[in-house]
Amino acid sequence: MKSQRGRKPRGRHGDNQDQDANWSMSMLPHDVTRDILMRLPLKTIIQSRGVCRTWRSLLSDSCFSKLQRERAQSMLVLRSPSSCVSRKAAGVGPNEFYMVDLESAGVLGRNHVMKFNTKNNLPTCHVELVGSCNGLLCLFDKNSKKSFYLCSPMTGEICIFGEDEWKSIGEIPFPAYKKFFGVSLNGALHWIVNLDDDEYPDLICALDIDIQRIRPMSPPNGFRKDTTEMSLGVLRDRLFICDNMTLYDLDIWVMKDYGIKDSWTKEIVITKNSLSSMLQNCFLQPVMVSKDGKVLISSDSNALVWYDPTSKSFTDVTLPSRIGPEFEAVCCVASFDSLSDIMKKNAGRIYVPDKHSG
Amino acid sequence: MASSESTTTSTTTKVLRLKSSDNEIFGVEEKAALQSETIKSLAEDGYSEDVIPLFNVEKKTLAKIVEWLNKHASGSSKEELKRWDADFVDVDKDVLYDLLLASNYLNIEVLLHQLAQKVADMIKGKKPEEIRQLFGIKNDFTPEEEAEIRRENAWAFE
Repeated sequence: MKSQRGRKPRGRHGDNQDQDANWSMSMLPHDVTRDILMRLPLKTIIQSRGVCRTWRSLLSDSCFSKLQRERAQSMLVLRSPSSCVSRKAAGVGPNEFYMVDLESAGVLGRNHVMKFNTKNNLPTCHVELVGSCNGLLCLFDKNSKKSFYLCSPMTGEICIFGEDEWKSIGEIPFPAYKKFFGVSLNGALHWIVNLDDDEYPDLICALDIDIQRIRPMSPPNGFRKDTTEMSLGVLRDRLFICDNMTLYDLDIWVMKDYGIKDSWTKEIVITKNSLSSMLQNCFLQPVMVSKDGKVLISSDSNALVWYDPTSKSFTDVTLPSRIGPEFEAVCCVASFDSLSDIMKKNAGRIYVPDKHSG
Repeated sequence: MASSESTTTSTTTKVLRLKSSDNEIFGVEEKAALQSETIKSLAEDGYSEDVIPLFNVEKKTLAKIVEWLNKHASGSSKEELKRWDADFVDVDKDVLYDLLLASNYLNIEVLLHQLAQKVADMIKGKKPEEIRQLFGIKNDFTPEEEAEIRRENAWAFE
């Protein structure tokens, strides 16, 4: 196939229609162009839709979104209160939403930061960042207390749901922390159970969305259940749990084989005294893992650091100044699939139980 | 290392003859030449004893390609190869373009990816106007379409 296409005369010096250029990328075979475009940073990909018709169609076809799915580029989504709002009002006032392409950035600059366009009907006031799965972002409307917004950051699509479709699925174990409620992985939502709930001694519980059934999940052997601060999340498609007690080292346990208790592994240990004095008394939370295995840690003091487990060293992430000093961060995998495709593919998996309003 | 020597003695000495579109013949050791899937299938089709005609590659481009094939079959260390590759793709746009087409035609995946990465590095961070100018791409949108696209993607332009 390739040789056939290659056999066409290029006509660089003769019948080239672009008189002013002796080098036109328009003449490259489409799969070569696609191979080039898929390597671009996310922001350049979006901007490049405006180069020419060919690029626009190459950047939105299913072949390209498949390549991007394989590339599984993670980005950071930040919700930050608008700078004009005082600290007190931060919880309810307007927010800015940013996407930061940390993976393609050496030093973060304006080429790695995108701001959500407020014109696309995305509410900015009274919204909470719920989480992200399948390349989608979920926001909760604190005003209505029942509407959720699903948006696909890369395609700019947005849909609202929850207005009138709620149904009860019965009693569920009460979550210990609202913040880590609903960690989505493998078609289930996971949360840490309130230990006062004697019926569920297993600490973690999973709600299987398809069959709407609760499954208990055991924590790692040796994990201190009596800790007052712990967190649950997903790093590179694997569930993790860690003890966030600031007195101790930050141990990140990863469940290597989903659902298998014995596969819990203490994968990363960040020792207390390796942390800068500023971070030693902070609540630290792993957010994402880079392609080269570094872990991004966010602190409740609004700092972001990369931790390199190999060299056991830290690198500060300096966000561009236009992002306010306060933020909430979640990791989102860039997906160029259309919202309807993602919804179809994961039909029945986007339902969120009505517990948030309680 | 020592064990592979005895098995490769016979093949490393075999030389394939590649002919450019402008009739220049390059002798390349088989081991190096077979990194190209196109040459591999032509060789399997019975061209290997004769000259392998590469109708789409001019001699100046084929010379560069042969240089790459030889280097990547030379057993250089990973670090050295990385440095060498960075130099190799550091060429002007015309050469880059010819190499892209040639490596696509010859189906040398590793080289094609290196070249694609090089072009991607040249594009990244640039605005559509700059990209069009740099790569000789014609703006075929109507002004209305352009305004529409800009509106749709406005958040990425801020």
